[in-house]
Amino acid sequence: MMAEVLGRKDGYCKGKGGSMHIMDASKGILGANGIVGAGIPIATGAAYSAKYRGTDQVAVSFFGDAASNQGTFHESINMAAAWKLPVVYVCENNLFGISVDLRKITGNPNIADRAFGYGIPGVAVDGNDVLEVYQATHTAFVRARKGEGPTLIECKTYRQKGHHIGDPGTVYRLKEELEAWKKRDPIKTFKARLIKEEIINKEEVENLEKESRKLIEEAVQFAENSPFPEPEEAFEDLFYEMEGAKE
Amino acid sequence: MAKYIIMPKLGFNMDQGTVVQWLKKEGDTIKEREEVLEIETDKTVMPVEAPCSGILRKILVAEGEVVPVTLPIAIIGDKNEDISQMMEEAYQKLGKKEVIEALKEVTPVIEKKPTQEPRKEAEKRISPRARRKAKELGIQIEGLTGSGPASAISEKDVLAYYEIHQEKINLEDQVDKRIPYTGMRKIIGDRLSQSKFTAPHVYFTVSIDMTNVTVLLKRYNRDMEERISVNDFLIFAVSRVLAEQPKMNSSLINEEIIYHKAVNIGVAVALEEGLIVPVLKEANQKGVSAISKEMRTLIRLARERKLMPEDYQGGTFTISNLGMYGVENFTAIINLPEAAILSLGEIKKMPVVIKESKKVEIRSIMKATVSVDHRLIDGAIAAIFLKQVKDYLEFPEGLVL
Amino acid sequence: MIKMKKVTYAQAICEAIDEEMARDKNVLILGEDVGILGGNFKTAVGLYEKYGDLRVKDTPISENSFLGMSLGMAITGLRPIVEIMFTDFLLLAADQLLNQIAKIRYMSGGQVKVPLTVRTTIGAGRSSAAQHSQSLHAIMCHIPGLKIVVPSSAADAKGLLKTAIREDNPVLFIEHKMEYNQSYEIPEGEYTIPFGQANILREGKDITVIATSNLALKAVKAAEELGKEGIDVEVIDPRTLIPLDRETLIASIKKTGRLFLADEGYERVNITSEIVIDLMPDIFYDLDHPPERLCLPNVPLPFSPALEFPLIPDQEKLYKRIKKIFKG
Repeated sequence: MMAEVLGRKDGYCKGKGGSMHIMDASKGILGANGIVGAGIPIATGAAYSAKYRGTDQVAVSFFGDAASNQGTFHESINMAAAWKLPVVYVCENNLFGISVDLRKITGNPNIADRAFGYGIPGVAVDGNDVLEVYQATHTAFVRARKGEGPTLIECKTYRQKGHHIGDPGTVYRLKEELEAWKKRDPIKTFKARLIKEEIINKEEVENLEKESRKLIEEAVQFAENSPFPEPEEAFEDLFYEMEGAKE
Repeated sequence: MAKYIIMPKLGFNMDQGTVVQWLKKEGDTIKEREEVLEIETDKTVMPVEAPCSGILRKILVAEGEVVPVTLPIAIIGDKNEDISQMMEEAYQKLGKKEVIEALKEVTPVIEKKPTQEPRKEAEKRISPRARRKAKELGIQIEGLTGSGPASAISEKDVLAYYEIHQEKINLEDQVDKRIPYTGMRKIIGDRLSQSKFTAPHVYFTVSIDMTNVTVLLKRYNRDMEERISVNDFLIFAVSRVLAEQPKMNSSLINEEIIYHKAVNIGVAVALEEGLIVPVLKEANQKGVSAISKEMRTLIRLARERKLMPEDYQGGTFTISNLGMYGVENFTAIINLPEAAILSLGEIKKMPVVIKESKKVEIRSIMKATVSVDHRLIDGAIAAIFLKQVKDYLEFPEGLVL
Repeated sequence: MIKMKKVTYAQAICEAIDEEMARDKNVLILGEDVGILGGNFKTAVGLYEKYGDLRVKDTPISENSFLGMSLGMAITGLRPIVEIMFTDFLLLAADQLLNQIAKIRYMSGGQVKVPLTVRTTIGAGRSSAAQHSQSLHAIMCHIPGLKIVVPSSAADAKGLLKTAIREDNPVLFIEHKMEYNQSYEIPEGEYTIPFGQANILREGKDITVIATSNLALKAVKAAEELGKEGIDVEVIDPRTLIPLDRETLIASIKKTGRLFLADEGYERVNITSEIVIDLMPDIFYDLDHPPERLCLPNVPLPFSPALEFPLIPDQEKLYKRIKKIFKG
């Protein structure tokens, strides 16, 4: 992943996708998308495919609150609901597109409510609560695998930084709101809870954090050691070469 | 282990940032991820966090300074660590040994180039395929005519031409005669080319009723040994007009118009190797007989190749007569630096309407064309000249009275 | 000797889909009215009854999303055929077609392949007016990642569609709406036609006519008329615009020295513009006359037949234009 983001040959996409189009098809990660909302129908189609092939796969579509206003959101959920497709729609509602506050551009900012319009369950959870999110997802998966159709899960959360590099994220937000949410940081709160309930102790936490850091550094190292792709490679992978095909 | 704080690249288009405010000072203890300074990009002020914990050992860049991204701006390390090497390298990168002014990029002012002369396209339109065929067959494009739209030459035109000329070529001697382009031919060629390309030639033609002149000369020559030719008389008449109309007797030399005092008329003589123009000096001062005599001499000298430079230099006007070859009319090239040249055609018996009697009579008509250099002579001037010449020749008594 | 049978263009298409669905259980078709109705142009008649709801899917009017869904299906093991009624409606699905389907293999560095066929229609002549009569295939040719197929006759349509469905890359298959009810002779049995092979419909030595879709057939008729005037016309159907069979086209132009192209798209930024400049380095010195073309003029299609028909490229206009080149 790190190699892909740095545009190196050993990245998942051989340097051709970058952070916006990163994909690992072998693990069923069908890709991030540079077009907001474009992944929703693709995920829905994958769900259709699972149903068609008779597997117990479930497709999960991740998108933000802004994507829930894109046409594809409505069209896809409608079809998934009509055909009872095994798909879970997960909306990370962090209240902001890039700079536009959801509450200013949406009639009903409770995204989960939309599910009602399509005849499927919609559930809003505290997106910063690890266990709550887990629970809702589990329920949705069970439903999907039973052939009962899709679920819309709205994870209510907040974006602590800007949308992208170079966006301080302060121009369009209230400082007080930001500070309040920072206190609810999921990693911090979950860590505290685990320690409080003595499921894990401080030392173990430190070790985990150390290991994670090590993994990341190794990943960065791997990426930096990976060469850049050759210019000629830009012309590869456009089409799948069929036997005897004329290009 | 000391580390740099670098100017971060916070955006695709960010090349440099300005240090706005140091939130910590040298010697302060810093915790990892603590905000150490604020920088400004072209849009916003952003905090920069410390990459590690330690003492802020050295601030390398002052508030207000502009630094390119990824360059070091401070050093964090242990209290007693030796950071001199890091400092030196940092200063090198920052170019602080001397003040390096960022090269002000001056948007080059692209001067509007004077529009170049459009490439002189051959007037003939020919398709690439036909051109290729012509080259293949050794045919000159100049000889082709096109049957396509807008007379475009297509391949079949080339093939048609080839068929016709194949037959001709087979009949003739296959070998071309070649001689070098030198000597008199070249000199004449160069002079005439230069004249045509320099002087804007304009032509005016008039039909002159030479009947009276021919009758006059016939009467005169009847009794004389040395006969006066029509040409002699023409020189005589023209010289008088030139004396009266100095503009026709001028030259443009080095941005100066010279109105010549003398009227020196050059008369074109055809030799086998080319054209030569002996000059009859001060023609306007000489009578017809004198002119006639001198012309005879000059022509003889010319034919004998005995002309001296002063014999063919200094002309102010030229007359060329091709009437003896049956040429009806032609447009000669001006003999620079003269302003004009008069071309005379054959005298031909023609039916003419007489104005007064409204009857048709047979008269001797000669076409005369004057080629003028439009830099010096306008249409009206040329017309007036021709009119006067015509009047004098049609009513020769005007020259005497 | 190949045995021939007579079918309509729509039936030929239907047969191709039927044969491929029988051959490969991963082939499915989705689109508006393809199920119960058997397709708005009768291109899926009988398929719903034969293959069932999951394989012959009626969709809601959500072009962009069901095209996106077909992509999701294609990269997870299925081989979908999507019917989008008109190229005009493809514009609604432009993001999924041009930003997603055309590019996903490339962006993933070759991790996935997209065995997807998108069928759509072009052509004017039914007073369907400005938004239902366009031939927008040129726009789709601009984006790398799609193969573009434009059959002329029913026989070609069947063979090329089977190839398209078997192709492991996204194919845009362009049918002509005025042809569906026309009857044609097609070979009996199963057959495929490869991509990248142009078809010389008529040989000639005076001028090369390259024409797309049913204009190729109209060009052949015009050529017969022109033959009576002593003008010998060669007609070539390129069949696939991407990949384009450059060799056949170049060889023909080198022979005749004259090029005339015909396409029903708008004249501006037409596929013919692209073909001329694409071939130009190879044909410049062989040209005896500047290339010319017949396309739809640069106006939206009007409703009234009195306005519409004079605009549409047809046999008569081809005849006149080509004759003018020779007779002035």
